[in-house]
Amino acid sequence: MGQHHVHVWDVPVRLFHWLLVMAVVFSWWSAEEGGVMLKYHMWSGYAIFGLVLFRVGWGFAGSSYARFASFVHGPRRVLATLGELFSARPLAWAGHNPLGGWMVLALLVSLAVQVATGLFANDDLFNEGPLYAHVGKDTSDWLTGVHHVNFTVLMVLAGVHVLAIVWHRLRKGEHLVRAMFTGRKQLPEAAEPLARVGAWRVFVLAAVSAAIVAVIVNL
Amino acid sequence: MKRALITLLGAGALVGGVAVVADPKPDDAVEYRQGIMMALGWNVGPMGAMVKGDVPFDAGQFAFHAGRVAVLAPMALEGFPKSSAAAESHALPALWENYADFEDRMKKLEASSAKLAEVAKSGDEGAMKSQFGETVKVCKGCHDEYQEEH
Repeated sequence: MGQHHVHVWDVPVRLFHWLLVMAVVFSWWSAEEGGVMLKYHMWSGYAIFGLVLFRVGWGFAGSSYARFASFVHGPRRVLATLGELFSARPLAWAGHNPLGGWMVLALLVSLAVQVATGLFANDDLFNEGPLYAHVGKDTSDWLTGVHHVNFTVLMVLAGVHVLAIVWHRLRKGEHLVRAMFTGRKQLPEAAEPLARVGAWRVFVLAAVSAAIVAVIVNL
Repeated sequence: MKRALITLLGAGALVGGVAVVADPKPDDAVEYRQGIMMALGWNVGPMGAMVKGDVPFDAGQFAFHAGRVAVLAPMALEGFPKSSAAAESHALPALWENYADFEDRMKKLEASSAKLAEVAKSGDEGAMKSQFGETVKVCKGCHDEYQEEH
């Protein structure tokens, strides 16, 4: 592999990613347990809510490789990337590659749907999402159904995401998991250095995200 | 003594159900069982709120609702006669296809809620909360298997 270590993922992006993984795994487990555990499932959902808000904000105001504008590409580039997918040649893409970029969007949309429907959901026992009372039982039941179907969608997306990472590792020799820990990718050629933004933005965005969650779950 | 009485009542309800309501109209069966489920939920809700800490724990209230659940739980199965399989409800076809398993689960619910009522008499908060968790697991298991996604 190449000699160039390029910093692509800043701390907020990495922290977001791994906190999200933990929260999603915990949400899955606590939902399977059900009953009293749903209380903590809901807390975990609020955490995911905040994380998604933060990531969307960071996609507009964050460091260069985190921005949507830098990784959301049109169909031509996506198809070109798809064409290279099965060769052993590394993609050697600095940020999210054009296919991965759309996966990021798909995952964020699915997570947002999951959070939104969860707020109104009920378990037919003694747990209700914080906004349940605003819609009543019938609508809540329907949204709970969407919550369950969309969980499957989310798991399929996450499964494809993980398989793609494994594929990059085995077929193309690219260590994407390591990059998500260290923030750096090894690339054959030099790439645009990461354009960082002031650390204050992290705190402001995190505070705003938390505040939005707090307001909405208490409506 | 009380437990024996509850069991007896439960058995009586079951036998009585079979004998008296020999051929219930399918739609009546659906309404009956939805009523029982509603009444169960009516009692499970306040216990759940206490266990989650949403409202202060009150052993007397908890025991009251646990007693109600122990009486109601054995009344549920008779609301699912096979003759009501085709009636419109939230019951999945799997329920009628695996009826023996469904009956097993109902028996488990009966035993588990009787135990909850028993434990509730002790006033031991920890034991009550933990048995409550066990009982609602039986509820959830059956809902997951046999209740339609709305």
